[in-house]
Amino acid sequence: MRFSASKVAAMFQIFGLALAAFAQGGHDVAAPPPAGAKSAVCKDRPVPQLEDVTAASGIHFSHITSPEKKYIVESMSGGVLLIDYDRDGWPDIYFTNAPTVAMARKHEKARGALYHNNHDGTFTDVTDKAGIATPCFANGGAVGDYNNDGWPDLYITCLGGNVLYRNNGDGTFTDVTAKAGVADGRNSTGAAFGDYDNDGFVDLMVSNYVEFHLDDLPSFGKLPICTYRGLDVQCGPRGLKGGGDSLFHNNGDGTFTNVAKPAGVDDPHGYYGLGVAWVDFNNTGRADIFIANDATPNYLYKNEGNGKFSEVGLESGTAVSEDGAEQACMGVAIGDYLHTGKPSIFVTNFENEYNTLYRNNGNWEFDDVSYKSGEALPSLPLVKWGNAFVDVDNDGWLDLISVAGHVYPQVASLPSGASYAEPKLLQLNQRDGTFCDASMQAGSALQVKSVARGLAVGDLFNDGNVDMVIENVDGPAILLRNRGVAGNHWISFELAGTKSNRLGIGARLKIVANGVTQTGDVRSGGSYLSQSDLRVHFGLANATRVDEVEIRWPSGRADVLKNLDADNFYYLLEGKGPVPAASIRPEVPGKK
Amino acid sequence: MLDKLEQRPQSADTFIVIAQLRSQMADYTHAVESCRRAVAADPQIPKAHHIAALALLHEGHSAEAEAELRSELAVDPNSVETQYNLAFVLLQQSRPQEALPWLEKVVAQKPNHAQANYELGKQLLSDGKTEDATRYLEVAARLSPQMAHVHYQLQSAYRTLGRRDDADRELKIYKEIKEKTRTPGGSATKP
Repeated sequence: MRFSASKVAAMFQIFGLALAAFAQGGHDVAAPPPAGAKSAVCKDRPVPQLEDVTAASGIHFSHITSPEKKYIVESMSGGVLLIDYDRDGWPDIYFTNAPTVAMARKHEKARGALYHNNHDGTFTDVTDKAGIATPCFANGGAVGDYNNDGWPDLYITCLGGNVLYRNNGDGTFTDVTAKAGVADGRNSTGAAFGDYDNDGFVDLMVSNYVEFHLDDLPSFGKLPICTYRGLDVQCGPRGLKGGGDSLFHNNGDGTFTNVAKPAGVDDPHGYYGLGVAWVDFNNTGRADIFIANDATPNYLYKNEGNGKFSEVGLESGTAVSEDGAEQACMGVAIGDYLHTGKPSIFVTNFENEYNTLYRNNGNWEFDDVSYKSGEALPSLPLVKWGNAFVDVDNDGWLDLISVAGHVYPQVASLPSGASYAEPKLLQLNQRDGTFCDASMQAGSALQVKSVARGLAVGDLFNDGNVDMVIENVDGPAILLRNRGVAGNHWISFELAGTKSNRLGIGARLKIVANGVTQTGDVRSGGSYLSQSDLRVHFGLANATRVDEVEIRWPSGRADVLKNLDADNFYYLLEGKGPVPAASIRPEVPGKK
Repeated sequence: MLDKLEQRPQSADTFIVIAQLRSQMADYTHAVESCRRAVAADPQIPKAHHIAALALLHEGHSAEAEAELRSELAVDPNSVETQYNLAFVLLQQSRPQEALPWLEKVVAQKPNHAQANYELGKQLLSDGKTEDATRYLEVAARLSPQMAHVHYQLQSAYRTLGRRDDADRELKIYKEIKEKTRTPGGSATKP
């Protein structure tokens, strides 16, 4: 663990020394760990092995590399999206890609990639057939079914104009951005679909990062804020103007209207938006919004139910760290890790800034329990990005995973021996509000250093264990197969709305098994510019049956199911309960 | 140049300067070495152990830093800053009960030590002693009105006590300070 720059800087003031050597480039300095900060290594419990199966899977995607990362936009791309685009019940994968600035200035494009899941542990590159190879200077995206035809659509966030791809249902996509009116046109990063007015059509929240113009480039290392520990580095985010955010209301006819300003979510301060999540934080039946902002306070928008939102980030305790430090927030994950029925927030941050766990106490009050929970300390040395609450061992308690990689390749030249590539962090829920560090016990793959950005989680092999896909901004993407913990059971739900939006985005499931109650949501977006499996997975430990399932749909309807066998996928149709998979799948064009 | 300078016999004072420069360059390993040379040249030289401690903290060697701070106190027992930093190192090591007496000692000797008041208030707040915490945090806020984090902690304390108006006032101050200190946009492209 390293000592915080701010504290040491304060101490050095005693001797009248300059603070410049400790500047964090475009990032704020960090607050020190508080008293009582502890972390624990996991012991006396089984830890699932996360095996790197990338080579065997046939996935060979690599993000375009800009070795020096002279511009901030060359460091920020790399969202990865799980999308079951052919609705065969097996998650497929889309990797975003972005060119270097030099390439972009020459109008050269970077190829993203769509991989079809072959159901046998392998994937096939179907990008060309799908027609989604070169949407833009892509950062990340989200999955949602904007037109309720049952085919999940793809929204890609970009520098200079986002792209909405309508899924045609035949393995191809059509760019409908212009008609839909969702281009934004700024430097978009995070995105998530959610139905904030519960009208049955998913709306779209989009965060924007810094203003960036290819014809007016910030100069590498030109200003003090473009240095890091004495090294010249890319400029930003500080010193660059923030982009503002967009909320696109779905008009239900294939078009959207940007209502960010009247809704009160347009980011008038120009904060540096990254991760986005829609969450019903207070069980009101309305979707609220959380936006992780880099180097500025996060936003927590409370849905007032009248088309307007109130920003309560600082008042709720979710905008900054417990010390009031504005952290460099990147990714956001949501989970009921305490089984209270109240979703908490897990945010990834820059190095010397811990990953922040905001415990939801209810009634719009959150506590930063990062240190108390033991999750903070192991995260301090890393620059963290993609993240998830995920029950990796199927014990019925949500664990934490985050992936890391530095922003500045130049750090490798520091005398401290800092590394540009960094390992990944897995922390297991100890079922008492604390987490232990299992990073060294889950197999060697987590220890392999990479320059990670996006992380998506989902049961890619339909074996009841949640796997991980990592996109690196330098180097090949990684597929980690979760080998699971023997003897632990699970259950998974795929939803289809009828009155609610077709994919059931925003639905909240509450399950009871062996006296333990868990909740989970169908969620679009999240993590760092990524999209995880839309199915809702629960670990059940040794329970072989789920006694009760309650589904609260965005329409307001509640369905209750009893006595479901474990170790199965269930397909739930709003108002009908479990149905055969085919009953919730859309009609294939031309095959009535 | 520093390398060449270090090769020659130097006074303890010169090694202190070199250590400070090394620290500025984030070369903490060599900073510690220079401090050790300063101590070898003059075991009673003040600040050498202190600078070494801070460098060691940068490298994550909290226990070694603690030892250096205790050595510094052997040289200069009345150094309030060393006492404060020792308290802080103890807090780093999750030893709040050992740290608290040092913080109280600092505040007793130097009631206007803003950071000690802040750390004391923060620790007491964490311990659930909100009334006591508020007292110290109010002092810290008065002494360092521009330190945003003090106001943030204070608003948190007030909110816990149900003093919503006071909490909102402190939060407003916090926001104003943060807005003022935030780097203006556009400067990296239009210096």
